Amino acid sequence: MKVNIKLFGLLGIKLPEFNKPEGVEIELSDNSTAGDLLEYLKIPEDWGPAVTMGNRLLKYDDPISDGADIFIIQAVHGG
Amino acid sequence: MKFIKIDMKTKAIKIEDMPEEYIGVGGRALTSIMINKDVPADCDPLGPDNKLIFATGMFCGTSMFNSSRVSVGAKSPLTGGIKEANVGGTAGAALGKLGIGAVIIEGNAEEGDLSFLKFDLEGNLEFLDASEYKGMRTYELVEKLHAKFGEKNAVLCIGPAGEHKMKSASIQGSDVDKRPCRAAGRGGLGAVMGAKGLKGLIIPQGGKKADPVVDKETFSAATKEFAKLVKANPFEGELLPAFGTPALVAPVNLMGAFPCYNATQGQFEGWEKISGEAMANTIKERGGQVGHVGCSQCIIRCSNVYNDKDGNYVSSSIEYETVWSMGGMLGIDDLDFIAKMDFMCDDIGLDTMNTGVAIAVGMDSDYIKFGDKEGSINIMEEIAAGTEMGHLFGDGPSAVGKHFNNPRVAAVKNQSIAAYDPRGMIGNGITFATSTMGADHTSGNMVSMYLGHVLDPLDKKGQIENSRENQIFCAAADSMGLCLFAMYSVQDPEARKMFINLVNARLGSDWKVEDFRELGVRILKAEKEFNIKAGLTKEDDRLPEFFLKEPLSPNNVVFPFTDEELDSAHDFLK
Repeated sequence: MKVNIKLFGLLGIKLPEFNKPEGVEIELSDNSTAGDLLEYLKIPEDWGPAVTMGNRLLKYDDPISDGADIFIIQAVHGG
Repeated sequence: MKFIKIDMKTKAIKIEDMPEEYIGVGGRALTSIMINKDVPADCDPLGPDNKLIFATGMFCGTSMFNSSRVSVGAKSPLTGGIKEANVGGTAGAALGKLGIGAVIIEGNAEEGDLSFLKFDLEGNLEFLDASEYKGMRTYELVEKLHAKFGEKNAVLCIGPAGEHKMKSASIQGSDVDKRPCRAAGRGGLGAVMGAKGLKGLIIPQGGKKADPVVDKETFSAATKEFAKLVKANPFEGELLPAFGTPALVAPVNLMGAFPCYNATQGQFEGWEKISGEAMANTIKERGGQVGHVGCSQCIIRCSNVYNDKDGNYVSSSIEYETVWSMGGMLGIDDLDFIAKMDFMCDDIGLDTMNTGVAIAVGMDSDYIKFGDKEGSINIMEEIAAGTEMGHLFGDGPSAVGKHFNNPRVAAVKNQSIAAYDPRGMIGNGITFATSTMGADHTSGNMVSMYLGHVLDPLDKKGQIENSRENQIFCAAADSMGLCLFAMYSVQDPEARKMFINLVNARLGSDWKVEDFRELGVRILKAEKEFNIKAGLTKEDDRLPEFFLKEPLSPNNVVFPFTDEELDSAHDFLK
């Protein structure tokens, strides 16, 4: 499957090869999950990543959809 | 620790030692427990029976990092209940280093009388006539005070909104760069200060009278360990210095919980123009500063300095909540406009959230159109001038909604929500509804639990319990004198143990881990008791009806909790 990813927070700085204003298209194996996507991008859990698709936060074992626009953000507190 | 009582009517100053009952309870614990005990709950918030209390947190005046928060408490003219708002900058540390635990402002000055309270390095103080500064905005005021008394003075002051006794009036505090850009913003405490005839507090920095740390060796070692823990967190250690709190724009918007166009939509089409990432780029291009130190002894550096296209200073620090209230909420995706409005709020002495939401309600009522920047700035000038419409908008969104007969007012107990739609982050809705403070994100924000996969923002499971625990945690945290970002680390059980060691080293006390939570419960009980005495009821712990009836795009969700479920959030206070 192909998805378009956009990175936010420091992820774009840490992974410049995947950081373009319009996003970057990547190809993953069918039935990939949000966790698979993070593994593909080599984003470790201690960077606090969170994956959103279709205006919803995904759990790491949630499937992602072919052709989806996916935004990867970092966990934050509010203050 | 000094406990100072000021009578604004007679100009009497009484300096005592901290009463036994308040030793070890600084900040919000002191203000709320004392207000509940000593302020008649049915008093006029702007009348002489109300007290305005400035209380340093437990760690103010020590070498602890990020320990410059001073709590301000009173009965709120906005909510009609108890209020605590705390402010960073330089005043908390300065007061702590003078050995001052609390300054209690009692009575009201004669109508038209305006004063400063000026402290010296011994922790003594005097009244100074402030009549020549009447009506002055805060930036000019602080510049003149620094010119007259020296730049090494922290200032807490009000602007025209406070003098006009408007219900959105803030108390502004000077930052490390001597700008009055830090705010005890919420609840109209600036109006209480204005009613008392107090224009400002002038506090020398660098005092050497701080209450001594009991076990210095343990304190020093534990402080270093605690600092390592805070710096190791990716949010406090990396994201905040890089983007400040506007790092929240992308996550909240992408969850569909960024209230915009007066909370008629949960996602803003122009969000990428006002995101933390976009702001950081703009700031850097213009020679401004991200990772700025705004508060004394700060190691997190969440502040920023925003310049215009020519590199001239506009405002500091642009926070997420202001990006929302002056951006998405008004349908405006222009950072320059947001920064200008932020500056005007600081300068006039206004809560950016209550003011932005008031303008949004005005837009939703067709007073001006969504996206109208010039109209918004005109409203700000009317507030500063104290015109009839200025008073209306300066009194906040509920007043504006009432005037235009518009029930779409995103507020609880007349205080505007913050930048999280209760339909898109339902746990924040519980906090907004049930907080003793009115809608308040710093009373128990759940956003990190959603992004950390602890809770689903749209699933009811676990929301009430976690909102309750967050509210208890934040009440205790607000008593420490540390900023909330440093305190978030203490939510971790191991870090909590380390923090309790710090408390014990500071006070020579014997706190157990559970005592931190107990302090939070004690504070909330005092606040709830005061609110009940003041006439607030369960019906005041409700969200406006439109959050329950109007589905929020893009997820088409409403706030799902019943009244009984909301009431259960505070079961423990019965």
